[in-house]
Amino acid sequence: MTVIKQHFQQALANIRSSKLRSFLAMLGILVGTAAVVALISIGELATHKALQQFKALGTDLLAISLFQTSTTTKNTSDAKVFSLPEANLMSDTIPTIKAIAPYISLYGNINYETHKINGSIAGVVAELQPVIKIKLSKGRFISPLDRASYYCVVGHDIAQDMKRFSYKSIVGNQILLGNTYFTVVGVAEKWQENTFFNQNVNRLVMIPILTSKVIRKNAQIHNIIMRIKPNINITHLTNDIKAFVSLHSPFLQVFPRSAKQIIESMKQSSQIFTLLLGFIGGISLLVGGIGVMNVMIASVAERHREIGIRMAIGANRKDIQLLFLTESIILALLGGILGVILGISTSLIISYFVGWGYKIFWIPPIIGFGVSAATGVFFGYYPAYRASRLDPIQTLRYD
Amino acid sequence: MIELRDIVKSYQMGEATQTVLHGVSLDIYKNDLLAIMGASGSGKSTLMNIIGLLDRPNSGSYHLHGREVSTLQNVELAQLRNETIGFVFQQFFLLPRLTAEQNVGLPLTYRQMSQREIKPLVMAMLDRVGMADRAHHRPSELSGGQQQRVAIARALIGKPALILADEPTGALDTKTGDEVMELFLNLNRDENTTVVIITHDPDIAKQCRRCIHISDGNILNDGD
Ligand SMILES: Nc1ncnc2c1ncn2[C@@H]1O[C@H](COP(=O)(O)OP(=O)(O)O)[C@@H](O)[C@H]1O
Ligand SMILES: [Mg+2]
Repeated sequence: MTVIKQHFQQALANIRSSKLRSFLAMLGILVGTAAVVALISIGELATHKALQQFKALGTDLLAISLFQTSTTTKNTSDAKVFSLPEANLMSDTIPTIKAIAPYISLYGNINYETHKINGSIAGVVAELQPVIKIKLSKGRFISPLDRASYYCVVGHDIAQDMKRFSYKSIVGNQILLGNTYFTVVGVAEKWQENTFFNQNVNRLVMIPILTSKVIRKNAQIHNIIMRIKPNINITHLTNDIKAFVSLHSPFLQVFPRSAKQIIESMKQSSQIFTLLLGFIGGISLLVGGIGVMNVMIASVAERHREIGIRMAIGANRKDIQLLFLTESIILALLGGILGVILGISTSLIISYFVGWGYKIFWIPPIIGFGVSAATGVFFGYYPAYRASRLDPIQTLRYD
Repeated sequence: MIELRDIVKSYQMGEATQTVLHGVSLDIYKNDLLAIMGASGSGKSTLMNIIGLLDRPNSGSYHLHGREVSTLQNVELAQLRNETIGFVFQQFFLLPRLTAEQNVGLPLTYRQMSQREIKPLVMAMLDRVGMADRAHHRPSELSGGQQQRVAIARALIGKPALILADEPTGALDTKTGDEVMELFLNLNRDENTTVVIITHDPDIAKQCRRCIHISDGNILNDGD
């Protein structure tokens, strides 16, 4: 124990006595470790952020988009379009679909008490509320009984804007969508944004899907979002859906997106990302390691006599090896500690600017420390071994 | 205590082999005070290195405390050096980055002793060589004589049975040399430590109980 402690002190003293050289060696390790730590942290943060989106919604979701396959059928008759009854029929036919919510994105001016409000309009069905988990702070959601009536539900941010323009209660009041007045029947709570649903509910005015034609004449269903049974084979399901759609609307093509697939591909690409960046970090560490080796070889060369003296007073080869190995590990670990700090701060700064929020992961710093210490051992081993094989007689001769 | 028989040591110098010791036989007894004299290059240091287990002979036998040591493993030799032998060199050979105290304590750290056990022993030893007030000085802050005292303290700290001093006064002026010599004499007298001193100086040799001369790797005469 005393020997280790002494080695530790001496290694520190030695590093201190050749500051510049030690610093240069540490720099490589520092950059390498910082790269590894920052990049793995950023990868984790990105995945974490992406997964968080689905935490609110759950992963048993499937979205499909429906679009015409070719330009030859440009003048579509209604028969070629996917209709609401067909959507409901599809849900009844395919048992793995638990709930189905077709929706129509509409764009039109929103005016309230003569003030313009930024936002979009969508024709929705009652099922949308449970499928993408909209909570209401006031009133009710769109209901099947609304049929083609002029009722609407407004998103949280829209409601905030409305409050600024009028003290009247929002529910029961009228809002102008395009050229038509709609009566507000419900206000949604703040909704966790999610790329899975094409619209941001917070800035959305939702009207009954059957009323869509009032806002836009040829409004058609291009998007369907559905909640499916958990743990089912997505490929089977999408095949069933494609078969159903081609039977009823042969000119429409189905583009599916499932939450599970999105997460999978995100994980995969972040794995590839991590591997690539780990590789870059590895190269920096290699360079740093060679730097450490250099410093250690120089240190051994300078201390030939010290090695001889230590051997004369009873140090064996292992002691000598340990002395130099301690030094290279400390050197690498100092670089590693600074690297971990730099890496974490870098990832925090980046995630702050990207708006991911921050969260410190334990794995990257542990990997950082482990890797730098391993570099110290690996690249310090050879110089230490050489030191331990020196012949004390040769090192102590002075005539 | 030490029995050397027909020790041959040669060095490979490129093509040529240079034989430095031509079959040296020598006995060193417990509590001996032995001077080894000889011209420069005659093989004194080589002999001392072999006695001190830093080097191995090419042939011959070496018994230390009745045990054949020329065939021991490196680890065992290191431990024997640590426990039974104390070296003092002409050039002191203190570690430049360590304080006097740390230098003196070094042999004990290789015995797995704790700092708390080591410290009082070191301070007592420094006191004994008259260097207690310089415990925290580094070698570069000490004079030659002071450095040699510290080196002697380091050689003595492990209570070795044998002290090997290779021209210990060679780098010192006569006065400090005498003071250092005084330390060895006291040590030999008071603690029954066996002391072997290599020297050029006949005055030093005269103070020793026994004196041998080496010339070209052969022992000329065993003083008595
Ligand atoms: N490690 C070595 N390699 C080659 N030659 C050596 C070595 N050590 C000593 N010698 C040679 O052996 C001879 C004796 O050296 P040494 O024992 O140091 O003499 P002394 O100490 O009596 O001056 C010298 O000629 C020296 O050059
Ligand atoms: Mg010599």
